[in-house]
Amino acid sequence: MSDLLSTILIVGSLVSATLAFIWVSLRLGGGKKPDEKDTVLSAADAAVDHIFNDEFREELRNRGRLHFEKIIGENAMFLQQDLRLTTSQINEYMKQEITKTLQEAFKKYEESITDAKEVALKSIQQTQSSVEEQRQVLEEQLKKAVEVEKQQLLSRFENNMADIVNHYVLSAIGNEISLDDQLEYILAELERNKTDIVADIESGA
Amino acid sequence: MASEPKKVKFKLSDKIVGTVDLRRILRELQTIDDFLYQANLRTPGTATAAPKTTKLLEHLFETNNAQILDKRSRANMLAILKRLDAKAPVMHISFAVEATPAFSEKIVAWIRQNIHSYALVNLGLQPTVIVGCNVRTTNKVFDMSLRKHFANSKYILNDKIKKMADSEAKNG
Repeated sequence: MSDLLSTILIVGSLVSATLAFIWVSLRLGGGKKPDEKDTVLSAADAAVDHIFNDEFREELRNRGRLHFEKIIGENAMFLQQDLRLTTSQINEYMKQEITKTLQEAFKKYEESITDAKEVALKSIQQTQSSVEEQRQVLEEQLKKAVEVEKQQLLSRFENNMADIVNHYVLSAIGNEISLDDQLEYILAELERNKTDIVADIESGA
Repeated sequence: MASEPKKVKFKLSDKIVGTVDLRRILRELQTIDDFLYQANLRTPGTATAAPKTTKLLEHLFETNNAQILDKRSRANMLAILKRLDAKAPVMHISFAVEATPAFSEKIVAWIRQNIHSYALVNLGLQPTVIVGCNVRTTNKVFDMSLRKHFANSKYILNDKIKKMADSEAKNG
């Protein structure tokens, strides 16, 4: 850094000396003739060429190249540091952004899932209530149908009770009842209807 | 003073159940009477085949203290049987199965003892009766089946069932 400043100072002093010399020459030769003026200018050029010869230029060029390389290296280092810092910042930023985006997305998903869950719960509750209503209706209908069927069966049973009992007796004892076993019952029935039979026989045809 | 001959009341055998039996006996007696009448007209010593009498006919004559070889007894019996065939009250009794002779005899004996002495009973089959019988007289039909008995006693069963249902309802 100090080299650069010294170089700049040197170059600056040389340039200022040259410019002063040129200004003096011009001031002094202001009243002279044009030939004299050209002579001064050529002398100044010669002096400049003498000062800024090839070696000095080469030296300056080398110094400038080295300085430029140094600056480039330093800047590269700074750039690398900045780049690393920027990269880490970008990473951090990206992390934050991604996390934020993901959180937002998750939040949206969560909200969507919650909404879907609520809708599903409502639907299930409606279905349950509907099923419950249907069940109650069916239960009532079934009760009525069973009651009607029961009444029909009872009335049918009462109406056909004699046949049912007769059928039951027949199924239970079947062919085991012989006429001899029935004799007592038949004679009792004849005795019970005796008066009517006698009356009918006596009345004739 | 001559005593009047004792009138013996005709007794119709319980083995003669219905009109079929009566007419068979009538035909049999008629055949025997004809044979005996023809035998008197034939030349003595001529071989003839006498018709055989059934136990039913013999029982009828024995029951009424009559002789089958006596012409007058035969004539009286023929007249009585013909009169019975024409005038005797007829009853039809149907059972679920065919009645045995012993059973028929018991039924006929009860009827002739309690309803009419000369009632003829025609026995028939009525499988729907199952238990009991159906009696048909001249103008009436008497359903004496167990089915009818149950139908008449239905209220008893109804009361029992209602009581059972009530007690079950109380017990939960």
